[in-house]
Amino acid sequence: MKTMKKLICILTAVACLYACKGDDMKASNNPDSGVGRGGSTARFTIVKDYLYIVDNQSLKVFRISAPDNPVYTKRVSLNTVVETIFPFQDHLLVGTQTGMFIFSISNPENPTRVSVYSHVVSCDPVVADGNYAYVTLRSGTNCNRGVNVLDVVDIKDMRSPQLVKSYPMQSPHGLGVDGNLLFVTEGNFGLKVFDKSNPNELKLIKTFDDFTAFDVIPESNVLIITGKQGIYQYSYNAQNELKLLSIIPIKS
Amino acid sequence: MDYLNQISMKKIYFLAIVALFIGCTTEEEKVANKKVMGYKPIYTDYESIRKIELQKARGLTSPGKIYIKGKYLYINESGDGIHIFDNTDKANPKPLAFLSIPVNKDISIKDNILYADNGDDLVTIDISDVNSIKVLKRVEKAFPYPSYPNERGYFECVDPSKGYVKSWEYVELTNPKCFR
Repeated sequence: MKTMKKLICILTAVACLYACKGDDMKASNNPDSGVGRGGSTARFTIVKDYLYIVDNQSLKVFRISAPDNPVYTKRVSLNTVVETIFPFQDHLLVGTQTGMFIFSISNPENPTRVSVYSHVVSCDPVVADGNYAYVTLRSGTNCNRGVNVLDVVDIKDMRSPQLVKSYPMQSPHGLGVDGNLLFVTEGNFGLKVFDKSNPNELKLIKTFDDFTAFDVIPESNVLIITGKQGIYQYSYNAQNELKLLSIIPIKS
Repeated sequence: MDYLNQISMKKIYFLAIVALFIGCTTEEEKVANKKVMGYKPIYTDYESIRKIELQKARGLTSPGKIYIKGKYLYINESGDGIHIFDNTDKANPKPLAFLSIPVNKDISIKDNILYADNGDDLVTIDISDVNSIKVLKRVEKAFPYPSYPNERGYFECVDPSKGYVKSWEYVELTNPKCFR
């Protein structure tokens, strides 16, 4: 079984290398003006004039240059349970229950698979910045046996993602990055804040375990967290201090 | 000789098939009134799930995903729609309205256009005026019909003619035909 898996991996890798030979890997730094931001568990994302959606087992592309008439242009079958989508440079990082799929969208209408970072069957949102992707794997009822870890993956070469280091977690649901900080929501175990300046040695700065945290969006020094008790907003700064700003409560 | 062989092989096949059928029937009879716990689809008719409207702001009951754009914070209410907040002052987010989009889970916004799933449809909504939204377009059947529950186990097979499966109820089922 193991050799079979290895063989499949090698074949996939070879196929990918072949497919990507001519790809232009230059990152586009154009900001997608006018586009908002979701959390790490998002299944919709917009890049320029295209809306990318992951549903159960596929990635779908809609051209939205005319918003009153979105045009369904492409479906890419993924043969695994797809969970999240994260746009990064001119790529899409797709979190599935068997790994992170990297698609190039240099041809936005036709996402092409560049590589796959495989892992055990698990639930896994993914985010990225700089040369690294951060993938959390969580065990849970819908994710089979799974494990609870945070994988830091070197994606400098998108064609060949490499595991830098795996960090044990408790129940990672979502994550977000900003500057040197990495935020991981741990469900019933709260929120963990890491200093990620050295991806080989993430430093846990702080744990908040007095609330349940599911997903997170860090932006402009404000952290928005969804939890069991409501929506929390915290300010944070370079000194790694977090201060509660508000809670939108859940009606009981 | 070969020919005869073929005939007898055919006979054997035939008998095997018959046996298989008998076997199946008995099996089915045995479980005819088998009661097991499983998932039952709860249907809603398309007319009601396709009703999108702006309502008065209301409290959060089961928040799902969040989305930010500009000064606005959008909070999904699992399966119901989106709470819209003015988040200019993050210490004091102000509820503005509730955008009712039945069976909604995800959104994305570009410029003043909100893209949302609405059952198995994709809708685009003009939200430039937060007091008066406008549905611009509905792409029907953009997403797969929910033909099975997320959880594994027995479930009552779906019947799309009854409408859209809004949710699943974990109840006692009598002889369910579907399993995953």
